This record gives sequence, structure tokens and C-alpha cells, in this order.
Amino acid sequence: MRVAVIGAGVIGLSSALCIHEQFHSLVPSLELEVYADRFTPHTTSDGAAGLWQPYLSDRGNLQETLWNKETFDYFLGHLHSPAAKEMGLFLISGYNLFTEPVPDPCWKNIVLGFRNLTPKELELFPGYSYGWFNTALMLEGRSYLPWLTNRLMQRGVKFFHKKVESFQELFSQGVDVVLNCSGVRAGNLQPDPELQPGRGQIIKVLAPWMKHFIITHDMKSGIYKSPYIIPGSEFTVLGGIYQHGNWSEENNAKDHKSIWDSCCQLLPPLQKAKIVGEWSGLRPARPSVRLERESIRLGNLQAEVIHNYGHGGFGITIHWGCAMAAARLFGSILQEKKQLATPPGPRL
Amino acid sequence: MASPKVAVVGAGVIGLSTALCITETCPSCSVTVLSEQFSPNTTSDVAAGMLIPHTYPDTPIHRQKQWFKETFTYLLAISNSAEASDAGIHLVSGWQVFKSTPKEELPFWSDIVLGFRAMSEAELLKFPQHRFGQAFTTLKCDCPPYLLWLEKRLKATGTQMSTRKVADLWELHSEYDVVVNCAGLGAHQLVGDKQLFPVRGQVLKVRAPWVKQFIRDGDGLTYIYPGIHRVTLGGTREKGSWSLCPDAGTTRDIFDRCCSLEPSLQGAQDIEVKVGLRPSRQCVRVQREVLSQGGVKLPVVHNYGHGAGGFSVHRGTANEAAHLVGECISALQGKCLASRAKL
Repeated sequence: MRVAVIGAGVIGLSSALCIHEQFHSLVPSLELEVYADRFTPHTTSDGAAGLWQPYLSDRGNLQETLWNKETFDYFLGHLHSPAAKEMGLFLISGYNLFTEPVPDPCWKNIVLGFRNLTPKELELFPGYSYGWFNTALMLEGRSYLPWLTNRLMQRGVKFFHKKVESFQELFSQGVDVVLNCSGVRAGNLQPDPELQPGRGQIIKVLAPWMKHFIITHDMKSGIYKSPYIIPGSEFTVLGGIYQHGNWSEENNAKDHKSIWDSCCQLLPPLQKAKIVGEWSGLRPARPSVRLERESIRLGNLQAEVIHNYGHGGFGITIHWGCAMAAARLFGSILQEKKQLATPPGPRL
Repeated sequence: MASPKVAVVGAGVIGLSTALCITETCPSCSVTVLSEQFSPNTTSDVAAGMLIPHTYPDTPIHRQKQWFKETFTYLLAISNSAEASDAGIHLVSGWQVFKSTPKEELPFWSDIVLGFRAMSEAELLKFPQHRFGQAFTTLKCDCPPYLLWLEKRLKATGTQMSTRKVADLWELHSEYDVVVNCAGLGAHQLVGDKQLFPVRGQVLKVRAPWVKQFIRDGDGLTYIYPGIHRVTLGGTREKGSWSLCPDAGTTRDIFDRCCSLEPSLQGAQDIEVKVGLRPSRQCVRVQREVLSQGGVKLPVVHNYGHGAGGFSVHRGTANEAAHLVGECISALQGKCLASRAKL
């Protein structure tokens, strides 16, 4: 049973790990392979700050709220494990700021200690009249992706640095199931007009005195278009760019100025922060995550694809819930192919 | 008296902030800071500098609250300005957790810090041995940066700073018009204050940059305070111990206690061990006194005995001491006028 995962960002690697963890002992012939044209530290996930926070609105996708919650709860449970540091996992508190009152988000009870900001706190942020404080998780891509890679390598999963041009290419080599975790470039494998790049740019600075994330919102402009500051374990990420349909991965001077000026205005101490890097990435934006099976007829064979892409700017936030869902889809494929006598679960 | 000469003895957070307040309230004064030690070798340099007040048994609560409020307000403004990183001042959020519910659920300072509230059940799950907790946001003054910033501000006003061991306040009477005693634990020797006693604190300063929140056990013995580059792990409160030598067994014990509150600290690197002697007293001594010998008088203002709460109240007590210095100078100028009037 050869399973090929396309994509080595947070979605591809976590889906691979989830499937291997759940099925390797049940399916002795399971061979897992990861194909990608980019590996850490060159994936989209590597540029993300790593803060767990969904969008403000669930866009009508209750399933996604559930996957977000599963992810948060899973990693909250791992906070005290010895692997946490290596994974880049830690707790962080911070502020969401608005210029007008807004309804509480659907994730208010998922995070810890969610509350409204007090008047004294709001005085710290001139121009913002409403806000939230809560404690959430950070899962830094720069640490998490290498950690996932190591776990997979330990499990004998093979990695191939290769740009896959079609699903057919893999099936003709004898792959039985393909996991399509190709992120923003999924359209190259199968056209999907709903998938668009949501270009972001960030400035990395040294600001070790920053202990809180600060995310501002402009309800009229939309998500990620308002300045945000997210301190990591080594450097702090300044951002606030979201350009729908822009495929450029080049850093843009105008965007740089916009990020720098707006973040320094939000937090004057940043004026003294040292800039140590800059990065642009393409969020794989879609009205909803595509997480579903597709059976493809190839001659007299039925090839199975599990799509798991389109996680926008909340890939890290939602990834584990999606990986589990992808694993469930894989389980149903195995059942149909009679590779599994019984579904995975406690043996009687 | 054109330019009253004021000597401030002591260059820890109290001495430097008091000197700065004096330059602000009395711009015509010429201020000199005299100290045996300067940053990074003061008691203040060992402290984490967290703004979480210590309660002094014999100081009225409203006075402690006023001191804390003035200090918090002053530092909050700096923390939100371009000066913040130079001054080493930053906001930090976290939790104070209790193994059993404290008698006083609302400390006197709860409405001064930001966002004070009881911890939720979900938050308490992170602390299985603790049953009650408080969450809030407060400020931290990292040392040495804060002391160095105060020194820089002082130098900009023309304040002189001089390394000198003052053995007796009286030795300054011929050079200075007013002496301000911010000698901390040194006041035990300097003015023979037997009510002053050390409370020894050993701390570890470690690199653990993923720790973004403070955690403090309500018993005051175990705490984790993330600073700019290092996290301070504590601690001990050994009343009457004068030893400045780190103790290896204590280091192990502090590390274990902190790891049980925050397991990820097992991965902490570059552990440095420091010891400071908190200059403790039942009440902070902010008071005027006049020393006299053979008809010669020397006005003195005392500002010492802040124990475990120095950073939390430093600006408030510095303001009060500066005000008392102003009174001393007015009194001296009154005498000058009076004696001239006699001619």
C-alpha cells in the first residue's frame, strides 16, 4: 500500500505523520512517501509566525471550527511534554484590537482566559476602542516542520525533492493513494478557481522585550490587512499585508513601509527594534478548506486522492484537526479496498 | 543659597530614582550620587524588577498603594514609548497561583495592575497542584538596563556620579547641604538601623526565550519572571542571612520547583546564579532627620528599607523623598534669609 503525500508544509507533514501513527501497525505493507518541490525552511508554513488564531468569523464552516479546536486541544495537552521546546510549542497571551465593538469570536471558549479589554488597557492603544485579551499557543514553523520531518524519517517515511506535475504521474509509478497537500499551487495539479494566493509580507525584527501578540483589525479592509505584531522565541514578526490574487513572492518596498510605519505607530518601542529579515509568502486562500476524497478513474484502476489544501492564513491553527480528518478518509479507503479487517480502534 | 548641594548615597534603584526626582523637583540643586557599588553590582541588579508589591506590615496600606500607583503609572508611560527598550521596561502577563485559596482574594494593588481577574478552571488545569489563581498584566524593569538608563538620564541633567564608600553620613557635612540616604542594606552599618535586616534571595537567570508569561506561587517562594533576554527563576527568602555566596543545593531546589510549575524550563540554557540581600524592614523609612554635631547641622532624608518591594514602589518613595529634600532646602533657605536679615 503505497501512499504519496504531495507537499511538505505543515499540512503535508502532519497528515503524513497522522496516517503513519494510526495505520502503520495495522497495514504492514504501508509505504509512505513525501514529494515536494520545497522543504523547510522554504515552505509557506516556515514564514508563518505560528500563532494559533482562526479568522474572526467561521465563514459558515462549523467543521473548520471543530478542526481548529481539535488542534488547540491537542497541542495544549502537549505543552508540558519534553518535546514541546523542540516542536516550537509554547503559550503566549495578547491583544486583539478593534475600532468598534464586535461580536465575540467562535473560538472564545477554545483559547484560555478570553475577556474584553479594560478601559486602562485600551488607553495603551490610541485609535482602538474595543478589544480582547486571551492566551493562545504558538507553534513555530521553523521548529515544528523539522520536528515533523525527524519523526517521519524515524518512521522510515521517504522524502523526494521533486515537483509533481500530475496525480497520474504518481499513480503510474504504482502509488495507491495520493494525499494532495500542495497548498497554494494545488491548481497546477487540478484546476481550482476557488483557490487563490493571499499574498503576505512580514518583517522580522529583534524585540525581545515583547511578550504579547498584538493583532489589530480593520473590519472594512478585511483580515491581515491591519498591522499585527507576533513575538516568537527568537524574533518578532511584524505584518499586516493581504493581497488577494497576487502571486509575487518578492518583497515589496511599499509593503515594507506600510508594515513598518503602521506597526511603529501601534507600538512606539518598535522604533528601536533591529530588522533582521523580511519574507513574502502566499497564503493558500479558499472560501473553505478542501478536505475530501476524490476517486479518479485511470484505465481499469480506481485511484484515490485525498485533498487537504486551501487553509488560508490559518494552516497551523487548523492543521491537526485536518490531519485527523484526512486519516479518517484514508481509513475509509482502506476499508473499501479491504486492506483493513476492522476499522482502527480498540481491539476486543 | 544659589545651588543647594545634595548628596545621594546609594546607586541602586532607590538612589538613582530618588536622585532623578530631586533633579526634577529642584532643578537648581546640584546632585551627586555617591555609592560603593554601581550597576551591575547593586542589589537591584539581582532583582527581577517585577511590579508586584510586597506588603509592609507597618506602613499604612493607602500609602503603599499610592507609592505603587505612582510607580506603575510612571513606568507604564515609558513602556509604551520609544524609550522602552533602552529603559528595559516592558509589560508582561501571567498568573499567581495558590495551593489553597488565600484569605485575601483581592490584594490592595489589584485595581492598579491591568486586567486583574481570577483564573478560569481551564487555566488552572495547567497547574494541577494549585486550586486558585489570579491572572493579570504588570510591568517589569529589567536590570541592568533600567539602572543604566537612570544613570544616563541623571548625567544628562549634570548629576555627578562617584564611586565612594561613605562610612558615616556626617563625613559629608562640609561638602553637601542635604544628604539623602538610599543605602539600602548599607543603612544597617551607615546609620546603625537595627530594624533593618537582610532577607537573602538566590535566583537563577536562564535563557528560555519561549517563556512569555510570568508564573508566581502565592507563597512568594517560587516564581518565573521572563525578562528581555533572560528569565529569572526564584527563589528564597532567608531572613537574617548575610551570605552572598550562591548555594548549589538551593540552585537545584529552585530549578526543580520552577520546572514543576513550568516543565518546559527543563530546556533552559546558560544558567547563571545570583544572590541579593533584600534590605528589609517592617516599614519603609522615608523620613527627614537632622544630624548635628557641635552646633553644625546636616539635614538628612532617609529612603531605605524597601525589602522585597523596591521596584514596585521606587518612584513613589523617590517622589516623597524628593519632596522632603525640597522641604529641607526651604528650611535652609529660610535660615539663610533669617540670618541675613539679622545683619
